[in-house]
Amino acid sequence: MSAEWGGRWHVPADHSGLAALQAQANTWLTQSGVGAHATHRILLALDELAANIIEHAVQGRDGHAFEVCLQQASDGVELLVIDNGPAFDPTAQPAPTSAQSLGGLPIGGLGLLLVRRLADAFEYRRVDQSNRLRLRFRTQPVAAPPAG
Amino acid sequence: MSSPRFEVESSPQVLSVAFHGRLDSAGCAALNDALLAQIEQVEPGQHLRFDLAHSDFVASAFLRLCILAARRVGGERFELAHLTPLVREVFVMAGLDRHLRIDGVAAS
Repeated sequence: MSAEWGGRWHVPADHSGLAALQAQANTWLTQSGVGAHATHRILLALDELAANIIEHAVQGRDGHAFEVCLQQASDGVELLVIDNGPAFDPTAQPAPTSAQSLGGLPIGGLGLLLVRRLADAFEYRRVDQSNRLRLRFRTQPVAAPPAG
Repeated sequence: MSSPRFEVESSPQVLSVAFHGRLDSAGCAALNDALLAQIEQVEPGQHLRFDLAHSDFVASAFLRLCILAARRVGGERFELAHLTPLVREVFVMAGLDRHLRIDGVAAS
């Protein structure tokens, strides 16, 4: 991993760790000048990916943790999420089909559907027994207040 | 970022559930059982309203709860009210605006 990641957190893979992760990521994004709308998109994608790891990758194993990194990119923010659960490529999962009725709506798969639509780029790699998800979000920096 | 909560008001016409706080994955997991129990209390003929005026963040876990609630009472008797623009955007992104009544606008 490159050393330029501006925010980097090891998170216990249970729901107790998610609130702190959201607060820390929110602080990093705000201090990095990311606007409210983009911050919301990034935090929502992060919440969905973290929940997916807790519910599917950890499978009840105690003491499991995952890693979250944020960095500024030329046109926005990159998010990297690493876990050492079983190989799982979310980018290869079929998108839920459009339901014609309320009864036909899928209960599963909504989180990944949101992540696909929130991120401007979404890439998966399996490296050293770890799942690495890298997402890019285009953002608009908060305008600097006028001088004087 | 404190845990979310909800308050319930019931009239003969409507059972209204007002949410407060972030309805993220962890928050929804904490609310899940109590909320599903509340949904079971909806009387025949009564509508169910989820009021989101005081929630500025919903995750897919909350969208799932909305789908379950709408199926339980019937789509024509379930309504989402007072969505902030960011929360509305999540419902639209998931395509649920085509299936759920939002702020008085029937599903298309």
